[in-house]
Amino acid sequence: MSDDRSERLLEPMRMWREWYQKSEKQWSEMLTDIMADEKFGKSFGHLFQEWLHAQHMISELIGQQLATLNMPSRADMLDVRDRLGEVDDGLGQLTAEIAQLRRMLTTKSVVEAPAQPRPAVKRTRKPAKSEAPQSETGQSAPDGGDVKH
Amino acid sequence: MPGTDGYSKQEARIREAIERVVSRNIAGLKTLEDIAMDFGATPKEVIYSRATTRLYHYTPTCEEVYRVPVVVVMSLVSRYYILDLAPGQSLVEYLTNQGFDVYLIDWGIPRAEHRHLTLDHYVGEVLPECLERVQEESGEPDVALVGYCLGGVLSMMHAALAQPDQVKALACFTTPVDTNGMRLYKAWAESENFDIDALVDKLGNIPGQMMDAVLQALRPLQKTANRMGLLNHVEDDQFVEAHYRFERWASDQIPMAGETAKQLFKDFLRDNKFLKNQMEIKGQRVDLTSIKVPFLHIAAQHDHIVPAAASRGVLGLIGSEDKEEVVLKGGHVSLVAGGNAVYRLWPKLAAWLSKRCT
Repeated sequence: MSDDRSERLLEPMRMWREWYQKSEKQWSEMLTDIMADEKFGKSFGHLFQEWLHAQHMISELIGQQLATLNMPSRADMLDVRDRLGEVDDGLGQLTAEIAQLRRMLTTKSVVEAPAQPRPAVKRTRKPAKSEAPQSETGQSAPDGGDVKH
Repeated sequence: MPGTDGYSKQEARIREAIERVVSRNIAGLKTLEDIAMDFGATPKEVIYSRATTRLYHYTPTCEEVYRVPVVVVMSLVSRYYILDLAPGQSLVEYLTNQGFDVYLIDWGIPRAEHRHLTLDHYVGEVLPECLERVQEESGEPDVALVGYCLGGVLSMMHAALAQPDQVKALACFTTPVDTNGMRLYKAWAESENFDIDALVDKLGNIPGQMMDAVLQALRPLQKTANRMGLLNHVEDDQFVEAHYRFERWASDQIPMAGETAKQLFKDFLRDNKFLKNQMEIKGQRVDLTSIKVPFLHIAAQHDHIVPAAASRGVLGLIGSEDKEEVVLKGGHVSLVAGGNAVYRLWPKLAAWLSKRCT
């Protein structure tokens, strides 16, 4: 009895969520229409420029205060992130060079000792005759076919 | 009014419910922790690196592969791992298992020092160097290019400028070619009140959060609706896991190099130069009619980021004789990743490539 009651209590929320999900596209489209309007664009453009200016000023101001407190600002943190990125790029470069060296060494050892099996894969694969027509349209999707032009 | 028994029963039920929720959440957090770590898991090797760009070579899983290597070109605005979301949910893993020799170009995350990079850098320098590296690695003179979203635009630009016979085939998904079909972005780009130069001067690169907000503007309520969907399916572990993976990727939005953003905003979006064959890379005009290789374009039926109006018509722009456009069910992201992609895009792409990669 009380289970039914709690289910009933939960139902409206679920119903509301389902309604929101179903109608989201229409509401979103309506909002997007408003945003695409020239008047909106004009006021948004002004606001955006002002925001950029304000953001710049506030960042400088807060940065100065944080420096006084001997604390890192967002710009300092981004600096650290950039440095880490540089280290990551350096590692990427090294990894790529090691891979290239390894490949060169493998090729060299194959040339020097031709009896050893070549590690490279064979590049001779052909599409299976029975496979092609079936996969051309794809496996059938669970909820219907595809639209083709 | 319930008696004492009623209260104690209710108290016990509430306690039980709380304990269940707590224990479930602890287990859930553990699961989410695991999920967070398993993206980009298909075995691969970095074989080229320049600035933030990495060229990955996925370890072949078949003894015999198709002759022509497949090079996947990622978009400049999203992380590469949407194509390698998790084991069993990965396009690159699928292609590798289907017998392709797969490479992927990940453009990485631009930093402040990269604000001056333009399309000349990406298309005119790095992309050709990556392809040279693929040719060295595979020993094959030609490659098949596969471009996702903006990666499709970059691939088409390269194919239009490349030496004949370097590109054997070109497949693009959800690639915008006509920006008249992107109504909101077009309106912003044409507005005199939106000053991209001032924005780039102040910020350097366009921050990831701003890129995210720009994408969200196309479906402002979708994120909330998705979260409501999550609440409705909270007991379905598979649904929660898939939702978490996508959310994680979607929130991992990357910045765009300032000068590239200017170029895309003015030349591509506002002036529609790509469609008019007026884009230039290192002083060379990108003429799409000079693309003569087999071409496939796959659009998503419910794509709100690159709607059909922005991508349809691509076939009329290129000079290939073997060309095809297909519209598959799905959205901009669900076309390439997730449960539907396994049945639709992946087999279609593999079948198309298999005939052209021999």
